Amino acid sequence: MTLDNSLSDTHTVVEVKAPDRLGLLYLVTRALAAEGLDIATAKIATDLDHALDAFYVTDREGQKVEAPAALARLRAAIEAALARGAGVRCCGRYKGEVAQVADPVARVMVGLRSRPNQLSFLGLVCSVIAAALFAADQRRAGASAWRSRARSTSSTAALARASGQVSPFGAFLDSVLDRYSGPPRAGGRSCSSSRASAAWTWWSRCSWP
Amino acid sequence: MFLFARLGRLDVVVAVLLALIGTLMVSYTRARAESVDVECRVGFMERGERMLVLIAGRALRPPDPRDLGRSRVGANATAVHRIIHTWRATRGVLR
Repeated sequence: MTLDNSLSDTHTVVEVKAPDRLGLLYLVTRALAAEGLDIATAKIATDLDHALDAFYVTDREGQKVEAPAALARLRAAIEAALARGAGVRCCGRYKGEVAQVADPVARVMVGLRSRPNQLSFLGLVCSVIAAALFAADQRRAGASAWRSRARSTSSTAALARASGQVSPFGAFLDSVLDRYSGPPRAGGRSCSSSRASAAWTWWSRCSWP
Repeated sequence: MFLFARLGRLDVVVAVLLALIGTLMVSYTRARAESVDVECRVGFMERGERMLVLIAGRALRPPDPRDLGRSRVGANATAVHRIIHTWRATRGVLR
Protein backbone atom coordinates (compact mmCIF):
# COMPACT_ATOMS: atom_id res chain seq x y z
CA MET A 1 0.00 0.00 0.00
CA THR A 2 1.34 3.46 -0.89
CA LEU A 3 0.22 7.02 -0.15
CA ASP A 4 1.42 9.53 -2.71
CA ASN A 5 1.08 13.30 -2.73
CA SER A 6 3.30 13.87 -5.77
CA LEU A 7 1.15 12.16 -8.43
CA SER A 8 -1.65 14.71 -8.32
CA ASP A 9 -1.71 18.46 -7.61
CA THR A 10 -5.12 18.29 -5.98
CA HIS A 11 -5.53 14.79 -4.52
CA THR A 12 -3.71 12.31 -2.35
CA VAL A 13 -3.36 9.00 -4.18
CA VAL A 14 -3.91 5.86 -2.11
CA GLU A 15 -2.72 2.81 -3.98
CA VAL A 16 -3.61 -0.63 -2.69
CA LYS A 17 -2.24 -3.92 -4.02
CA ALA A 18 -3.47 -7.00 -2.23
CA PRO A 19 -4.64 -10.57 -2.86
CA ASP A 20 -8.25 -10.23 -3.98
CA ARG A 21 -10.96 -11.47 -1.69
CA LEU A 22 -14.60 -11.01 -0.97
CA GLY A 23 -15.37 -7.56 0.51
CA LEU A 24 -11.88 -6.10 0.06
CA LEU A 25 -13.13 -2.99 -1.75
CA TYR A 26 -15.79 -2.46 0.90
CA LEU A 27 -13.26 -2.66 3.73
CA VAL A 28 -10.83 -0.23 2.10
CA THR A 29 -13.47 2.35 1.12
CA ARG A 30 -15.04 2.09 4.57
CA ALA A 31 -11.65 2.82 6.11
CA LEU A 32 -11.27 5.88 3.85
CA ALA A 33 -14.75 7.11 4.82
CA ALA A 34 -14.02 6.54 8.52
CA GLU A 35 -10.95 8.76 8.15
CA GLY A 36 -13.24 11.51 6.81
CA LEU A 37 -11.95 11.37 3.24
CA ASP A 38 -13.83 11.96 0.01
CA ILE A 39 -13.03 9.72 -2.95
CA ALA A 40 -12.94 11.78 -6.15
CA THR A 41 -11.80 9.00 -8.48
CA ALA A 42 -11.23 5.30 -8.00
CA LYS A 43 -9.48 2.97 -10.39
CA ILE A 44 -10.43 -0.58 -9.52
CA ALA A 45 -8.71 -3.45 -11.26
CA THR A 46 -8.11 -7.14 -10.75
CA ASP A 47 -5.09 -8.86 -12.23
CA LEU A 48 -5.53 -12.64 -11.99
CA ASP A 49 -6.12 -13.01 -8.23
CA HIS A 50 -4.68 -9.64 -7.15
CA ALA A 51 -6.61 -6.43 -6.58
CA LEU A 52 -4.91 -3.26 -7.84
CA ASP A 53 -6.89 -0.24 -6.65
CA ALA A 54 -6.05 3.47 -6.68
CA PHE A 55 -8.12 6.10 -4.88
CA TYR A 56 -7.77 9.86 -5.41
CA VAL A 57 -8.88 11.33 -2.11
CA THR A 58 -9.22 14.68 -0.34
CA ASP A 59 -10.27 15.59 3.15
CA ARG A 60 -13.64 17.19 3.96
CA GLU A 61 -12.23 20.64 3.04
CA GLY A 62 -11.21 19.36 -0.37
CA GLN A 63 -7.49 19.46 0.50
CA LYS A 64 -4.80 16.83 0.11
CA VAL A 65 -3.87 14.82 3.19
CA GLU A 66 -0.42 16.18 3.99
CA ALA A 67 -0.09 16.26 7.76
CA PRO A 68 2.30 13.44 8.82
CA ALA A 69 -0.03 12.44 11.67
CA ALA A 70 -3.05 12.18 9.34
CA LEU A 71 -1.02 10.18 6.81
CA ALA A 72 0.13 7.78 9.53
CA ARG A 73 -3.45 7.38 10.78
CA LEU A 74 -4.69 6.72 7.23
CA ARG A 75 -1.96 4.15 6.62
CA ALA A 76 -2.80 2.36 9.88
CA ALA A 77 -6.54 2.35 9.07
CA ILE A 78 -6.02 0.84 5.62
CA GLU A 79 -3.52 -1.72 6.88
CA ALA A 80 -6.04 -2.73 9.52
CA ALA A 81 -8.72 -3.03 6.81
CA LEU A 82 -6.41 -5.20 4.66
CA ALA A 83 -5.66 -7.44 7.60
CA ARG A 84 -9.33 -7.99 8.40
CA GLY A 85 -10.74 -11.24 7.07
CA ALA A 86 -7.52 -11.96 5.22
CA GLY A 87 -8.31 -15.67 5.35
CA VAL A 88 -11.34 -15.29 3.07
CA ARG A 89 -10.26 -15.46 -0.56
CA CYS A 90 -12.53 -14.39 -3.38
CA CYS A 91 -13.91 -17.41 -5.27
CA GLY A 92 -11.67 -19.63 -3.14
CA ARG A 93 -14.52 -22.01 -2.47
CA TYR A 94 -14.85 -22.73 -6.22
CA LYS A 95 -11.13 -22.98 -6.90
CA GLY A 96 -11.12 -26.80 -6.81
CA GLU A 97 -14.07 -27.10 -9.20
CA VAL A 98 -12.57 -24.59 -11.64
CA ALA A 99 -9.20 -26.35 -11.54
CA GLN A 100 -10.87 -29.72 -12.25
CA VAL A 101 -12.10 -28.32 -15.57
CA ALA A 102 -9.32 -25.88 -16.37
CA ASP A 103 -6.19 -27.91 -15.64
CA PRO A 104 -6.85 -30.93 -17.94
CA VAL A 105 -7.82 -28.59 -20.80
CA ALA A 106 -4.67 -26.54 -20.13
CA ARG A 107 -2.48 -29.67 -20.19
CA VAL A 108 -3.95 -30.73 -23.55
CA MET A 109 -3.51 -27.21 -24.91
CA VAL A 110 0.15 -27.12 -23.77
CA GLY A 111 0.63 -30.42 -25.63
CA LEU A 112 -0.88 -28.86 -28.74
CA ARG A 113 1.47 -25.86 -28.39
CA SER A 114 -1.47 -23.51 -28.10
CA ARG A 115 -1.11 -19.98 -26.84
CA PRO A 116 -3.37 -18.46 -24.16
CA ASN A 117 -4.43 -15.66 -26.52
CA GLN A 118 -5.71 -18.26 -29.00
CA LEU A 119 -7.84 -19.73 -26.23
CA SER A 120 -9.23 -16.26 -25.47
CA PHE A 121 -10.24 -15.90 -29.14
CA LEU A 122 -11.74 -19.39 -29.07
CA GLY A 123 -13.98 -18.22 -26.20
CA LEU A 124 -15.20 -15.31 -28.34
CA VAL A 125 -15.90 -17.60 -31.30
CA CYS A 126 -17.89 -19.96 -29.02
CA SER A 127 -19.97 -17.05 -27.71
CA VAL A 128 -20.80 -15.88 -31.26
CA ILE A 129 -21.82 -19.45 -32.16
CA ALA A 130 -23.93 -19.57 -28.98
CA ALA A 131 -25.58 -16.28 -30.00
CA ALA A 132 -26.44 -17.62 -33.46
CA LEU A 133 -27.88 -20.82 -31.94
CA PHE A 134 -29.95 -18.89 -29.39
CA ALA A 135 -31.26 -16.66 -32.19
CA ALA A 136 -32.29 -19.78 -34.11
CA ASP A 137 -34.14 -21.06 -30.99
CA GLN A 138 -31.61 -23.91 -30.57
CA ARG A 139 -31.41 -23.43 -26.82
CA ARG A 140 -29.69 -26.67 -25.86
CA ALA A 141 -27.04 -26.33 -28.53
CA GLY A 142 -26.63 -22.65 -27.61
CA ALA A 143 -26.14 -23.55 -23.96
CA SER A 144 -23.52 -26.16 -24.96
CA ALA A 145 -21.64 -23.57 -27.01
CA TRP A 146 -21.83 -21.17 -24.08
CA ARG A 147 -20.43 -23.84 -21.73
CA SER A 148 -17.57 -24.43 -24.19
CA ARG A 149 -16.86 -20.73 -24.02
CA ALA A 150 -16.82 -20.88 -20.22
CA ARG A 151 -14.40 -23.84 -20.33
CA SER A 152 -12.00 -22.11 -22.69
CA THR A 153 -12.16 -18.89 -20.65
CA SER A 154 -11.49 -20.66 -17.37
CA SER A 155 -8.57 -22.54 -18.94
CA THR A 156 -6.84 -19.48 -20.37
CA ALA A 157 -5.14 -18.45 -17.13
CA ALA A 158 -4.27 -22.09 -16.35
CA LEU A 159 -2.67 -22.48 -19.80
CA ALA A 160 -0.75 -19.20 -19.40
CA ARG A 161 0.66 -20.38 -16.08
CA ALA A 162 1.38 -23.94 -17.25
CA SER A 163 3.23 -22.75 -20.35
CA GLY A 164 5.00 -19.79 -18.73
CA GLN A 165 3.25 -17.32 -21.03
CA VAL A 166 1.67 -15.01 -18.45
CA SER A 167 1.85 -11.51 -19.93
CA PRO A 168 0.23 -8.10 -19.34
CA PHE A 169 -1.23 -8.14 -22.86
CA GLY A 170 -2.66 -11.63 -22.29
CA ALA A 171 -4.47 -10.42 -19.17
CA PHE A 172 -5.70 -7.34 -21.08
CA LEU A 173 -6.86 -9.34 -24.13
CA ASP A 174 -8.61 -11.98 -22.04
CA SER A 175 -10.64 -9.34 -20.17
CA VAL A 176 -11.45 -7.39 -23.34
CA LEU A 177 -12.60 -10.45 -25.31
CA ASP A 178 -14.63 -11.53 -22.29
CA ARG A 179 -16.53 -8.21 -22.50
CA TYR A 180 -17.00 -8.76 -26.25
CA SER A 181 -18.52 -12.18 -25.52
CA GLY A 182 -21.49 -10.99 -23.47
CA PRO A 183 -23.52 -8.77 -25.84
CA PRO A 184 -23.72 -11.28 -28.75
CA ARG A 185 -25.40 -13.76 -26.43
CA ALA A 186 -27.85 -11.10 -25.22
CA GLY A 187 -28.61 -10.23 -28.86
CA GLY A 188 -29.08 -13.87 -29.80
CA ARG A 189 -31.46 -14.41 -26.93
CA SER A 190 -33.47 -11.29 -27.79
CA CYS A 191 -33.82 -12.60 -31.36
CA SER A 192 -35.13 -15.98 -30.27
CA SER A 193 -38.76 -15.98 -31.25
CA SER A 194 -40.14 -16.83 -27.80
CA ARG A 195 -38.27 -14.01 -26.07
CA ALA A 196 -39.08 -11.49 -28.78
CA SER A 197 -42.73 -12.46 -28.50
CA ALA A 198 -42.71 -12.11 -24.72
CA ALA A 199 -41.06 -8.69 -24.97
CA TRP A 200 -43.52 -7.63 -27.67
CA THR A 201 -46.48 -8.69 -25.52
CA TRP A 202 -45.10 -6.70 -22.58
CA TRP A 203 -44.41 -3.68 -24.81
CA SER A 204 -47.84 -3.65 -26.39
CA ARG A 205 -49.61 -4.02 -23.02
CA CYS A 206 -47.85 -1.01 -21.56
CA SER A 207 -49.95 2.14 -21.71
CA TRP A 208 -47.64 4.74 -23.20
CA PRO A 209 -48.46 8.45 -22.85
CA MET B 1 -33.65 -4.44 -29.91
CA PHE B 2 -36.62 -6.61 -28.94
CA LEU B 3 -38.82 -4.41 -31.14
CA PHE B 4 -36.62 -4.82 -34.20
CA ALA B 5 -36.19 -8.54 -33.47
CA ARG B 6 -39.99 -8.84 -33.50
CA LEU B 7 -40.13 -6.90 -36.77
CA GLY B 8 -37.63 -9.33 -38.25
CA ARG B 9 -34.99 -6.62 -38.78
CA LEU B 10 -31.93 -8.68 -37.89
CA ASP B 11 -29.72 -6.07 -39.58
CA VAL B 12 -30.85 -3.39 -37.12
CA VAL B 13 -30.50 -5.78 -34.14
CA VAL B 14 -26.89 -6.46 -35.17
CA ALA B 15 -26.27 -2.72 -35.72
CA VAL B 16 -27.61 -1.86 -32.25
CA LEU B 17 -25.53 -4.63 -30.69
CA LEU B 18 -22.35 -3.48 -32.43
CA ALA B 19 -23.02 0.13 -31.39
CA LEU B 20 -23.61 -1.06 -27.82
CA ILE B 21 -20.42 -3.14 -27.76
CA GLY B 22 -18.39 -0.35 -29.39
CA THR B 23 -19.46 2.35 -26.94
CA LEU B 24 -18.74 0.08 -23.97
CA MET B 25 -15.39 -1.07 -25.28
CA VAL B 26 -14.01 2.40 -26.06
CA SER B 27 -13.83 3.23 -22.37
CA TYR B 28 -13.19 -0.33 -21.18
CA THR B 29 -10.12 -0.88 -23.39
CA ARG B 30 -8.58 2.36 -22.14
CA ALA B 31 -9.27 1.59 -18.48
CA ARG B 32 -7.99 -1.99 -18.82
CA ALA B 33 -4.88 -0.84 -20.70
CA GLU B 34 -4.10 1.62 -17.92
CA SER B 35 -4.31 -1.23 -15.42
CA VAL B 36 -1.35 -2.86 -17.24
CA ASP B 37 0.51 0.49 -17.22
CA VAL B 38 -0.18 1.48 -20.83
CA GLU B 39 -1.25 5.05 -21.54
CA CYS B 40 -4.10 4.56 -24.01
CA ARG B 41 -5.31 7.91 -25.33
CA VAL B 42 -5.48 6.82 -28.96
CA GLY B 43 -8.57 6.66 -31.19
CA PHE B 44 -10.89 9.35 -32.43
CA MET B 45 -14.38 8.24 -31.50
CA GLU B 46 -14.86 8.96 -27.82
CA ARG B 47 -18.19 9.88 -26.24
CA GLY B 48 -18.19 13.50 -27.47
CA GLU B 49 -17.49 12.58 -31.07
CA ARG B 50 -20.18 9.88 -31.02
CA MET B 51 -22.71 12.34 -29.65
CA LEU B 52 -21.71 14.82 -32.34
CA VAL B 53 -22.37 12.27 -35.10
CA LEU B 54 -25.81 11.45 -33.70
CA ILE B 55 -26.78 15.10 -33.01
CA ALA B 56 -25.50 16.36 -36.37
CA GLY B 57 -27.33 13.57 -38.17
CA ARG B 58 -30.54 14.33 -36.25
CA ALA B 59 -30.28 18.06 -36.91
CA LEU B 60 -29.86 17.64 -40.64
CA ARG B 61 -32.68 15.18 -41.31
CA PRO B 62 -35.17 12.80 -39.67
CA PRO B 63 -33.71 9.97 -37.50
CA ASP B 64 -31.59 7.74 -39.66
CA PRO B 65 -30.19 4.34 -38.63
CA ARG B 66 -27.14 5.12 -40.75
CA ASP B 67 -25.97 7.60 -38.08
CA LEU B 68 -25.98 4.72 -35.65
CA GLY B 69 -23.97 2.80 -38.22
CA ARG B 70 -21.34 5.56 -38.45
CA SER B 71 -21.11 5.82 -34.70
CA ARG B 72 -20.85 2.02 -34.47
CA VAL B 73 -18.02 1.76 -37.01
CA GLY B 74 -16.11 4.63 -35.39
CA ALA B 75 -16.47 3.32 -31.84
CA ASN B 76 -15.41 -0.21 -32.74
CA ALA B 77 -12.51 1.11 -34.79
CA THR B 78 -11.36 3.08 -31.74
CA ALA B 79 -11.66 0.01 -29.50
CA VAL B 80 -9.66 -2.13 -31.97
CA HIS B 81 -7.11 0.69 -32.33
CA ARG B 82 -6.65 0.66 -28.55
CA ILE B 83 -6.23 -3.13 -28.47
CA ILE B 84 -3.52 -2.88 -31.16
CA HIS B 85 -1.89 0.06 -29.33
CA THR B 86 -1.76 -1.98 -26.09
CA TRP B 87 -0.37 -4.99 -27.94
CA ARG B 88 2.41 -2.84 -29.43
CA ALA B 89 3.17 -1.22 -26.09
CA THR B 90 3.45 -4.55 -24.25
CA ARG B 91 4.95 -6.66 -27.04
CA GLY B 92 7.48 -9.14 -25.69
CA VAL B 93 6.72 -8.33 -22.04
CA LEU B 94 6.32 -11.43 -19.88
CA ARG B 95 5.82 -11.62 -16.14
